[in-house]
Amino acid sequence: MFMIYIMALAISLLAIGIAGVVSSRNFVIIILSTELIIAGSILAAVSFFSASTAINGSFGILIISLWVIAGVEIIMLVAFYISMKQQVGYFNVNKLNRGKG
Amino acid sequence: MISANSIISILFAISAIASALAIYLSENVFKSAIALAATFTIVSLVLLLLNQPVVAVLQLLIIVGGLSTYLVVAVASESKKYTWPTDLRLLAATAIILFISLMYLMLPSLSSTSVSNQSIYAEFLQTLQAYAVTIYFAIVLMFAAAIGSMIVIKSALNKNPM
Repeated sequence: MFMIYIMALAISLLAIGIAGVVSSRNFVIIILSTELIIAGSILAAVSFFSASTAINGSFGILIISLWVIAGVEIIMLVAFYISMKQQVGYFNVNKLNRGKG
Repeated sequence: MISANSIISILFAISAIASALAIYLSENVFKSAIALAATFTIVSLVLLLLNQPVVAVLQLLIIVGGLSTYLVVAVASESKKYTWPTDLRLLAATAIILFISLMYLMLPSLSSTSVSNQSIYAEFLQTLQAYAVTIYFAIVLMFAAAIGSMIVIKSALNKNPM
């Protein structure tokens, strides 16, 4: 029963993050939403694998991969943010095509 | 009767969801980044509740200490105005539909503790460990791409400062 609450929390974070990406136009909020998605997926992975008795918790490589993806994604998105700020001056992703060329 | 662990996990879940929603309800981006850091902190407490102290400490160090600070300093501190607010009705509708559909898909596998499920997890982890070197190189490549993107942006800024 306890695991269902944790899984529900992970799925809620995932759903809120995806909904945030879909419904936001501000680029910074989209960055924060993707981080929320990653937090939800890390929690889901840990709760799944810690519930399984056959594994003995040897899932470090998966979690470290998820952390690396989160870190690299943030670095690249911040670089893209700076580029967008320089070329376009605003962060509405619906108007990204104005920054081309 | 509900156990103490269940009550604590419900409290953590409510506070994590509240702080996640505060990202979209905040007045400016800086407060949104702080709300995200609070969500990460509560997630690390939940990991502690799952008897994974190492993962919890690393989550706190890497995500909360490193990435949230980087986000706050690099992005959120510059953006004072919240120019394009989130469509809250679309957010609520999408989140509820996704939550219901994902819970509907996941509940059967959560309620069963069958041997087949556990063997699938074990097999998945064994495959992951077999490809550990490949994953390691992929991680190095990803970091190289990230550092390269920062160098490109820096050179672009030097040519044409903001």
